[in-house]
Amino acid sequence: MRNMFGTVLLLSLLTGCQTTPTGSLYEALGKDEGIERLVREVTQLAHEDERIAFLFEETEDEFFIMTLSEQICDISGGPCTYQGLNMREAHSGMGITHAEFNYFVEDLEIAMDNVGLSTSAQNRLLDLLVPMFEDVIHQ
Amino acid sequence: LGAKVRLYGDLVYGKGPQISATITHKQHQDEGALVALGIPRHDDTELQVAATKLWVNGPGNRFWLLHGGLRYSRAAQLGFLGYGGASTDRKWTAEAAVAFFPTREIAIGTEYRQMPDIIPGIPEDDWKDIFVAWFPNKHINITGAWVDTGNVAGVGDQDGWYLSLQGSW
Repeated sequence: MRNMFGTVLLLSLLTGCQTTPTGSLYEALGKDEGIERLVREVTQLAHEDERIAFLFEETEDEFFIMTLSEQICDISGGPCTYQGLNMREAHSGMGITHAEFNYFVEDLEIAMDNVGLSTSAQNRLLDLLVPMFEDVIHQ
Repeated sequence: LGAKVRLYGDLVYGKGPQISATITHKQHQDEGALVALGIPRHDDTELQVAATKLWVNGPGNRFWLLHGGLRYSRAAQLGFLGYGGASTDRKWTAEAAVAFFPTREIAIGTEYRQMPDIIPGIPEDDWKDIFVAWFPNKHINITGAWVDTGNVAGVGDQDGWYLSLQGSW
């Protein structure tokens, strides 16, 4: 019985190691082209999501897509340097709540599915966005 | 019947785990059966303190959930066999669970739960299980598990399969 538990844990750890990618996340996201496609998709979904659409009402879409793509390129190990505002400045005055942040993450997850990102790439990207939470909400 | 409060932290965004406390009051439906078995209590209140953390990029670039808790209870077999006697004989027991998510919709994990073994003459073993849960959408959860409950009501080495379908709206 104890062996069985050990085996299951061991199996999950082994498969974990096998699927660990070695390339940069930037490449897994499909480089500049893939990142822009993803950002375009999530921007579209956010506009259609009645729970958070009001937060994007005044957004200049093309500028937003360009800067967010640049930021993701930068933090995922691509050849870019993010030139935009820091996360506190960028969300200043918006008063984004914890729930609204979660709705955007839900839209991002759908967008990542829609552009066909692997689970690994999705989770690696989410992991880079998690630390931004504190600087995005309640600004 | 119970109440759960989040005391500290955030499941995903906090630096540490999310800490929560739960108070539960449970009542057995068939008091007569418990009286016949000589079990003193058919309802009781218990306290649980738990720490839970979700990593979005754990081993294998997968979501991993780690959960540990302490429970202060005198329930026998979760209360299905009633509750222990004197007012002071609750015991602290520990429980832990670990799960990983091969995809966002599927969780595979294992749980271990100490049992207080509180009623003399009705031995109780710790519970262990391995589970697979599927969340096809936000509202539905289908879980299959293999559960080892050990000795239940004097019948040794009980284990079996468990399947549940849960909906929440």
